[in-house]
Amino acid sequence: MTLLSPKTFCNFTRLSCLTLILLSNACTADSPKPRSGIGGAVAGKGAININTADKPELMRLPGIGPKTAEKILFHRAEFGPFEHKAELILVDGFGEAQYLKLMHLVKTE
Amino acid sequence: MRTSHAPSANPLTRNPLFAIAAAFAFGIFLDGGLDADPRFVLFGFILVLASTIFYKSLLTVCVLTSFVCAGALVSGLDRSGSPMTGIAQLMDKGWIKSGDPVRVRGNLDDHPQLSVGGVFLSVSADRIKYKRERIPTSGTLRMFLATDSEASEKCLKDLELTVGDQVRISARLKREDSFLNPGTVSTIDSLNRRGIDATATIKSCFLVKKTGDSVSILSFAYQFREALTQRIIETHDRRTAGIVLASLLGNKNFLTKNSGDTFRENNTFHVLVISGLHITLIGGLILLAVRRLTSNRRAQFVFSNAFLWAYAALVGLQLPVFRAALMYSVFLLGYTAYREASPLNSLGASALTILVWRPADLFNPSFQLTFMSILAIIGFAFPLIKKVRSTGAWMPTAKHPFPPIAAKPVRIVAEVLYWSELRWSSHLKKQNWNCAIEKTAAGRYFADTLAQVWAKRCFEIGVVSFSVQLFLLPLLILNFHRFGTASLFANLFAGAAVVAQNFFSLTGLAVSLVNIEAARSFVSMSAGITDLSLFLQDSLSHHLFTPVRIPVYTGFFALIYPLYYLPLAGFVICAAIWNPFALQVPRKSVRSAAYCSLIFVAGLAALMLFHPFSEPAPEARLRVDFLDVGQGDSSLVTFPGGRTLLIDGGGQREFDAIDSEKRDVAGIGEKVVSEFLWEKGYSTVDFVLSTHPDADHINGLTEVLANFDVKKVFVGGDFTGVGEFERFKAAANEKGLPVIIISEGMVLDFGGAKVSVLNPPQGRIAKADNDDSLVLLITLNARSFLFTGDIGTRTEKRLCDSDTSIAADVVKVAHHGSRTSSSACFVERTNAAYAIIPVGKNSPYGHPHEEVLNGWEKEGSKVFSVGERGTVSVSTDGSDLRIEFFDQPFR
Repeated sequence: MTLLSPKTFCNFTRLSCLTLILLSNACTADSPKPRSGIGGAVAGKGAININTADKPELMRLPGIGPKTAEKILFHRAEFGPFEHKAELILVDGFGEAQYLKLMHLVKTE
Repeated sequence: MRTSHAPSANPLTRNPLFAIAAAFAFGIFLDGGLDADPRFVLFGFILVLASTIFYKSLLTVCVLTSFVCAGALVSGLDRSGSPMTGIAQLMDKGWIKSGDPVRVRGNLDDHPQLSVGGVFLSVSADRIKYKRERIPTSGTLRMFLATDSEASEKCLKDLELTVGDQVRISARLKREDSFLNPGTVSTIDSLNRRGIDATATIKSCFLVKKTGDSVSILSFAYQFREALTQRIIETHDRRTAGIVLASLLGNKNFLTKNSGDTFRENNTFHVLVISGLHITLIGGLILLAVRRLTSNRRAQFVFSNAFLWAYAALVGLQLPVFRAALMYSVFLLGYTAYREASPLNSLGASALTILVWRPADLFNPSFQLTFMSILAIIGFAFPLIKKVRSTGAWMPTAKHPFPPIAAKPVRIVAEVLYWSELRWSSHLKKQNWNCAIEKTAAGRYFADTLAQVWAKRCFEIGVVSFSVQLFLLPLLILNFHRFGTASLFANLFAGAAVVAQNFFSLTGLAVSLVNIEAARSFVSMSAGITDLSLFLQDSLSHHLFTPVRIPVYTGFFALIYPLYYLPLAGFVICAAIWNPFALQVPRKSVRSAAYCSLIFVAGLAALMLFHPFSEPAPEARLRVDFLDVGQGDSSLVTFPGGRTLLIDGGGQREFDAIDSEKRDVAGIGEKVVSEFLWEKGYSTVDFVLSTHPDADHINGLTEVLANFDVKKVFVGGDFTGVGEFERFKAAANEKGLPVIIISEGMVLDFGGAKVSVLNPPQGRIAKADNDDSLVLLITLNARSFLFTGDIGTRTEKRLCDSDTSIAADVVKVAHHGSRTSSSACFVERTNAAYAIIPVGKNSPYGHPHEEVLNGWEKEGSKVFSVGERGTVSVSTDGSDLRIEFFDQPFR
């Protein structure tokens, strides 16, 4: 009995495909699905980069309306890019409570 | 030429270092004062010439003059270089705008200091990033990190910050003068004096990153201090904890406003501050204790310094503490190096050390207060007590074989206090001769009695307390506008109470490690002493001696404050010359000089305390000063003839300073409005008017009512139920003032100027909302001023539609320039030449709104924002109209 007979090869391929499918399912099962309570608007594609996002993208974040988005853009233009996402708190009118609500949805690079 | 080696009778040449320090200080004063007023140069010249009368020796005059020049030179060099480097310089030059966010990297100077609702961080910065640029820098930053939320508290605990750690913090730095009025202490000056470049409030713990750990010996000491602070807060009630923490550990953050005010009114606040005097007293106690352990002076020096510097390091080594500890060490050096050290010389050496290092400190009130109080004690009080004691307790000895020469009343007092029959008889037994000694009857009666012991102590404490008050009088008036008549008594038990309280608290804490129950009784003892002390002090200040607030003279008459020290110095020198054991009767000239200078001292003191003619001379002009109180309104109206009306007093601050259990922070009414009035020379405000009971209009008035003599109070209605109004009314009731409700239609006349009330409407009860604010039209002949409070478009429309004319030359724009007011019809009907907006530089509400400014400008009014220009003053004689600004006085 050889390992590479056509039958074992077919079996092997089927087995590997099965394993791969199972593994990929397990992986997708681990990734966090966005809960509607926090970021219903965010489609779960990944965090928003606050250094490159434009106004409509920023407005997708919870608690950020047009005025706040403008303030973020102004802050970025005037004082340079955010080195850390917590620096959002420095923006005029932003508070720690607001930051806590969206800290998982933003990134800086 | 003197050939004997007898000690010079002249006290100044006996203390050369003191004279040199004085000359050096005078040089600094000439240089620092030169910019202020050239009259001081002339003043200085006259003084140098006058000194040649006392010093026949040319050499002395030359030495002193050379030190005067050295002082001027050092001060000049110090001032030409920037007073602070690094961040302060960057912000003063405008390269970093105050209020803008930055990222700083630096090390913590101190363990995070606990406070209400957060901690204070002291960061020694070495790099700063601003607007995409990273530059190395230096400077000390004092930052407040708020920990209101659980997330913040957890974040801070996880960081485990301690002294020496390297941190990176993102925050908005502040370094600017916020209230631009005459009389308000400049924030920047205050920061410079404390050695702080800028302050910041860190909005969240997430903005703080620890990038490097450090363990130093100091960190254990500081951790111990903060742990002790935490324990004290947990085991004591808030009031007691505040006092114990302030007096023991130098943490004033937990002091309640009520306690702070009680101490301030009695001039005993210094027991709550780790000040120079505090350090000196503790140092003295340490020295006394160390002296019992060893008689080796060098060991005494080492141990005393070790303990004192350890204590200074524990309480945080801020600049005033460091300065005091340094003075103590230099002082101690003199004591240990020479047996017959003159304390005055040591004091001179200490002062010289500080002044050479930081000449600008000569103008620092903290340095002045510390130095003057120590000088009063060792230069006047102690020698006086010593002389009285030696006069009273005199018995024939080898050193003093002849009786003292003193006036009869002086001898009676001295012997009553210090004569001891027991000591005389034991002294006599040791001699091989016998004699009868002549002492006054009163002296013999009180000798060795318990009454004498008490009288002695009271006398000594009284002399010390009185001397300190005497020396500090001008400084207390200029800096605190206070003179506590009760302080002689208050100091007696306030100091003792604080010591006893701290003793019980510390013992309680130590015992709590063993037995919690026993500890509780110690803690309640401590709390009981606090209650007693505060109660006694309150009784003194409220029932016996009411604290008086004192305005100051400005301009030419301000010279009386430094001038006061001339006769005082004369008197002190005469007292120093007085030697009851001198072989000759004191010269008549010395005695008459002493009486003369005493009369001058009393006269100048009376002038300073009763301040006659300090108020501005009444003119035939109507003048309105719109004050910069940040978020809020406050205007002072001066009528022709001199009477004054204060319309609103500002009052909104970060903390609600009026709440007595909150932090001991001065409110706007005290720090801005009262200071403005005192600077002008007023101790009376004839009328106080509150337009409506909003905190940012009425809170300041509550403090003004307490600080000034007010005749009448006007309001728009009786708003019981509104907290701020109730406090205001309570303050008025305490002074026995009637609160008069005025409404539309009333007209009041003051010296020719008419005040017409246009709102709230008659016939119904006024509500506490903005639209029922008092609206006043003040007219003098052809000119008029309109004060609008916080009225909105509804009231503006009513006024527009009504028959009464609302045309005015100057309008105070309603509600700080908010778009909810200044409707088009109102702007058109008022037709103002000047529209003044009282609003802070950075209003949290975005006031004044752009459209409001445009609205006024379109109608042709010149718009001025008080926050930008500082105090705006408009005056008229009935036909002309003159306007001046704080940043641009009338030429």
